[in-house]
Amino acid sequence: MGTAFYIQLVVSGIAIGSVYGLVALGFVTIYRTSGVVNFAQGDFVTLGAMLSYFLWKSWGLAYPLACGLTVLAVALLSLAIYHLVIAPLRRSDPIMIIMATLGVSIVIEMVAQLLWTSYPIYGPAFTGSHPLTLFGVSIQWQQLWVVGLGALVLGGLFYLNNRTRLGKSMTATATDRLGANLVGVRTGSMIRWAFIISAAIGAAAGIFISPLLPMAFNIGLILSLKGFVAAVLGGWGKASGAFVGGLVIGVLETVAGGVFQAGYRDAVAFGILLIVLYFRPQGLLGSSLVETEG
Amino acid sequence: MHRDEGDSRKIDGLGSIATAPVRRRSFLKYACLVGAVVSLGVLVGVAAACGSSSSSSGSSPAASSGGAGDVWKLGVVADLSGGLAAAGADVRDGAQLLVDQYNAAGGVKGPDGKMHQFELVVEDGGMDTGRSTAAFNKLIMNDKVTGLMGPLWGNEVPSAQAIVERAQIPALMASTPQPSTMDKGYKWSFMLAFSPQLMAQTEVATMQLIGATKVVAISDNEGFMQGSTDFVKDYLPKDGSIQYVIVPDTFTAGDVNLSAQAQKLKAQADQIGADALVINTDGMSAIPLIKAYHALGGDLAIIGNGAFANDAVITAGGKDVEGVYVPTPPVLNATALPDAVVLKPIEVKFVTDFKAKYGHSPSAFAANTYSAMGMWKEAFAAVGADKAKLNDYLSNMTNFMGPSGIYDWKATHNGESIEGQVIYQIKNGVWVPVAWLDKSGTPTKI
Repeated sequence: MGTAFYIQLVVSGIAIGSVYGLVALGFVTIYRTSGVVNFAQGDFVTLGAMLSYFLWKSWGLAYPLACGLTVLAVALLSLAIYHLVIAPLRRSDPIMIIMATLGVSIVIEMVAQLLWTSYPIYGPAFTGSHPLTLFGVSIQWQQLWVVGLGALVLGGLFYLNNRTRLGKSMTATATDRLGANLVGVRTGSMIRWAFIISAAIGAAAGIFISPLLPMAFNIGLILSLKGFVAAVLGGWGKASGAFVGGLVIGVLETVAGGVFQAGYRDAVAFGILLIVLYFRPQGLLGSSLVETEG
Repeated sequence: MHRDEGDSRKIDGLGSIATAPVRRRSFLKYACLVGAVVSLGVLVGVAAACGSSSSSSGSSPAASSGGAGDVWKLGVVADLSGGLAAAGADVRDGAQLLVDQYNAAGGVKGPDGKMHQFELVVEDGGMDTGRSTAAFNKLIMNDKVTGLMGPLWGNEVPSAQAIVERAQIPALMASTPQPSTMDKGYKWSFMLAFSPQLMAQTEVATMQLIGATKVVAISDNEGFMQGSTDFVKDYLPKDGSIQYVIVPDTFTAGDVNLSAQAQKLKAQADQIGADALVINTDGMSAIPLIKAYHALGGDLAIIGNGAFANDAVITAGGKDVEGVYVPTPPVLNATALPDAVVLKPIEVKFVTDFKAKYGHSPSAFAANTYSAMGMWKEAFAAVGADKAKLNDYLSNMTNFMGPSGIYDWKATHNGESIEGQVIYQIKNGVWVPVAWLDKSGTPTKI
């Protein structure tokens, strides 16, 4: 196998890693403000892909309109989930909230299967039907879109958290809810915003990755697990770390799949993850303190 | 900023959840709530299964009056939920179609001279070995069925075969024979879908049809698919005119990240200058691999297998599955078959009836249980509802023609014969028959 083979593995890994990174960003956005670990985050991705696809295919909406409506709908659904499931449990043990989000995940998956199909769907590629070839390495245009979305979301979150009143209020809520409340921050609203933003990120991610990956009703939990691991690896609670963690997981598992037998792929990738966390339990970019940076 | 209404309650809300004392009463309250949420999810899933299930069994009428004999009860284990739910529904519907037709005609005359209605009891295997095992046990012990159909998912087969062998109840299984159980000499199970040997044989026929001389194959890690991929070597021309190389790696069906496998496939193909690829997995699982292969610039002819025989593959795969060859039972596009294909009249009737009842084309999975139901009718009519006699009758059945193929159970319990199999190619989103196979497996171009 030549050098191009390994570079190609890394390129493919970056693309899939961006997907994991986007899911991880959703985890972090909610956690930073509310302290909730939302295992339905991957299902927002699935919903984004499937709802936009069926609005486009079955309802005949223009694809950009279908995508816009989808992001809005998933964000509103997330808000409803917060009010119906998370808020009533706010005084409960975190494990109960996690279990509740798993329950939400199951409900979303079952409803998606009932409403649409149990078969995977693929959304339309945004641009370019032929891959771009550079020095013997093929890159799909859609992969660039996904990486671009990841960078955009990361930059957007950084701007939100550091340059806007909303973002600073969300950060204040994450840092010290009581203090934030005492100085007039509407902490309840901040948590609602966190759920809306994270769902919008998830739905957009689903739309962007659906031309690349098979999106089926039951893929949400798998994405959630990968995204959660990415967020932990990058430094739990830190947005930039979450995205970097996603990239690292994606590259590791793809390179491991190329170098070793497929059966060892996850073992190798997660074995390396364990080693990293052994030496840096706070994650690649994390610290023991709550981060103020996005 | 204004403080939220009710923020006095929220001050120590989510932020202090880790330290807030949990009282027994509130714990129970929220445990119930969480339980309710999870239960709702389960209920929705069950509703999905029951909704499908009731539509199938609900249409079974009771035994007709006047000279009516006992109802002949058959069990079906179909994967109505999980990743194979749509295919599982076809498994159920294929059998139900014939049951409804028989019952609407007044039933089937048994050896006692009375007319008997059929009743199907459908259980969801859920693409889960444990659930499937429980379903088989329930149908045998609680529902007291006389015969069984299903499962579809290959991993459910070994335990299902062991159960029916122990219970001594005949079962026409909608799945492929599993290499791990093919040599066990089971007498009570009959595999309706193609054997790994048949699949290998049809793939070699496809290679010959398209003139491929250097072929690279890759398969998923299921025993059946790996067995088929290996069996291809046994059917290659003895003159060495086809070079066949298997990629030394597998993947898991349903995996979404197959870019590494696609690279290995392409690298191997480039190395030997291949002119065709064989991809042995189910069609939906093949799509990510084919997409990833095309994304690398690969453009070789692709040979699939009978597990691709599903319209959903075309819908999901789009341009990426254009041109893929699929050797399979003829059901995919029966009306386009030439009259020389011996199964054509059966296929056309099946497809027409299925579309009229369910509003969509049947898959090969539906054809399997439709064929099975035809066998049951013949067997019940001949010997009645005696399990041992039914099994003997089925075991001696030869040249049974159904839409899924021609069966000779006397020769083997492992799948249909190669005669009448058709090689399709996906062209412009349509299954186009390009050749059919005779008894020797030789392709005749259409």
